[in-house]
Amino acid sequence: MQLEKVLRGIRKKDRRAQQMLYDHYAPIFMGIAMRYLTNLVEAEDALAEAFIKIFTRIHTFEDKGSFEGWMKRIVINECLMILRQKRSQQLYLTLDDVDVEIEPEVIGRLTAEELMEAIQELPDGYRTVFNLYEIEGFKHREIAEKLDVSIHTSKSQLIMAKRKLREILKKNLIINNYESEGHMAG
Amino acid sequence: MNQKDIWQDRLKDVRINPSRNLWFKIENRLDTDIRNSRRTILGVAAAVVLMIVAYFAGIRSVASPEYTPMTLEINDQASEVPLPVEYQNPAIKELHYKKGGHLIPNARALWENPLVPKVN
Repeated sequence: MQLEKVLRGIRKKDRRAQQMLYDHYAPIFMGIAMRYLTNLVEAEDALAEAFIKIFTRIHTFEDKGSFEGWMKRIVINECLMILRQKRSQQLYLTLDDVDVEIEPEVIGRLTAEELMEAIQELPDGYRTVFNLYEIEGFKHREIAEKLDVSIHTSKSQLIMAKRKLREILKKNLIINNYESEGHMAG
Repeated sequence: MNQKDIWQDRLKDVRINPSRNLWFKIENRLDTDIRNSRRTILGVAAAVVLMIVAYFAGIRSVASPEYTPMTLEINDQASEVPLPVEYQNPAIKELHYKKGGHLIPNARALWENPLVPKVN
């Protein structure tokens, strides 16, 4: 896909160019949306809304930055909007200053799908902060602004998310080992 | 490699296909938006045309000889309203106080005995 050509087409509201962009990026953005919203219908709603914004607000994109980065920000914002509407984020928790590390070998032994499933098991608030900080690379200050919470809350949510995730990953790893051993024995 | 890099590296290639009808849903929304924006543009254009037509129609009607504006002379004494002739008749007391089943004010009685506030 020639991005420059497609971008020109989208600026002219050319439907074929819009569909080309959609075909290329929809699976990538769906992967992002499913990390934030575990529900398929909600993730698709966020994706549809994001693409409509991408097509109708293309004039606000300045050629200086990355187009993919600009689109990703729109997708993430749409996911956050849906989470905000649900109002199910229990975002305040007491801060525990001890950072939690998830062993790299644990992450390494699981497939991307298994890691996605583990992230999806996290409660909304934990998952949102974890995605924004660990995967998207936002700073706690930016997360606090985006979610309208304090920096303290963002940090505590991340710690709790990592603790929970470590539990889930270890549990999954044990199950995997058990299954593979059982398979070998059988 | 720090933890952030590990997560980003492991999840960068995650692709999930949305359902097939999602594109049609987006397409429908885009078409609706285009129709709505066209309607808005048409509405604004119609309003502008209507205003222009009304402006020129107004100019034409003002310019018509039928409606030439004129100044009326008002007498300095115009504020002194004399008592109507019929009420100057002494037989005024016999005038009906009811008309069509409704009470009507006795103008002469009011003229001769104006209402005054009662002061205790």
